[in-house]
Amino acid sequence: METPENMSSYEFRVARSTGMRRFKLALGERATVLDALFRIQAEQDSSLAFRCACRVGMCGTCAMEINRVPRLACKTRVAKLGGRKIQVAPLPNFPVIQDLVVSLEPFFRQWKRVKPALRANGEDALAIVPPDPDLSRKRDCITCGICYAACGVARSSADYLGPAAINRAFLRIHDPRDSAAKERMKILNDEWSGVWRCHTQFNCTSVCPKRIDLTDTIGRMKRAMLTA
Amino acid sequence: MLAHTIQRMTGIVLLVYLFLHVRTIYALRDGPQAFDRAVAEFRGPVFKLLEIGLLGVVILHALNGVRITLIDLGVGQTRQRQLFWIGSIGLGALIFLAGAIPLFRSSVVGR
Repeated sequence: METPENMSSYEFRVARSTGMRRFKLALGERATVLDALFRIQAEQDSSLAFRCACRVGMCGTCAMEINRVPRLACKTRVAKLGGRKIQVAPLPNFPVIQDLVVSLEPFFRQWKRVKPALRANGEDALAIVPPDPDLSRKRDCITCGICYAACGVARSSADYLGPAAINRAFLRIHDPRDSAAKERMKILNDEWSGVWRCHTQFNCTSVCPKRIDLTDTIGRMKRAMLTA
Repeated sequence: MLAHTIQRMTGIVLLVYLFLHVRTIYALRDGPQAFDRAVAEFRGPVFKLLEIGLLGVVILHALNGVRITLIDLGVGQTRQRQLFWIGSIGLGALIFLAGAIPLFRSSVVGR
């Protein structure tokens, strides 16, 4: 049980659909931004809208912009943000539904474009693929949309596939069971929306909560295009 | 993102310089005297300082460009921050000082 001695006071500036609102809170050392939002909702503003599900960084539902960086609210400790003023806003690059809730439609529109499902012929789908340590971390994507929110190219071009969709296509292309590699390569090779739009900013890699090196994925796809 | 922003900003500065450079060279069309007159516009100490600044911009843009090319080739992907701070900024500062100090001495102090 936390005592008031080990609590610190914070000022939360939360972007509501109606404008920025300030909330003062006393929080413990281990409190996350999601904990703070629940406290605000319970004690100060019951109409505050935000989304969450697993609360352990597995589902990606609570993705939002915290101190101008897209992060998972459930994995972001308030004390570690280094300041008493915390700014919380909805994920950029997405249409806001209400307060901190955004529509991930632009993200999944691109996701669908790379045909994310496995396309295997007959018995190939049942084959057991030996684990590839080089690709294992890249499989950890939780489709939270944080990489898309941080991407400077996605901000200026709604057509861009985005890092997560490219990563998904990359995994499918490297899956020996898959039979649609050529089709996916064609989509990734598109001059206006494919891998060539990436400006190697490393924004996606630096914010990915699962620490997937997305810039590496895009770079590898670019080199694969050149040698294909 | 910082590296990306620097690359874009220095790119714009170089583009402006390129136009200025072409405009000066274009004076050759009207003969050597016209060219000398055009070049004379840049002999003031302010332009000499801007010239030293241009050296810094060129070095930063070039080294950061080399960094991006290496990353695109799959080299130093996981050490991109070190490549930026040590390769582009650190090495760039050394090259800049090696060029800027003699330039400053000869064109600004030694005038």
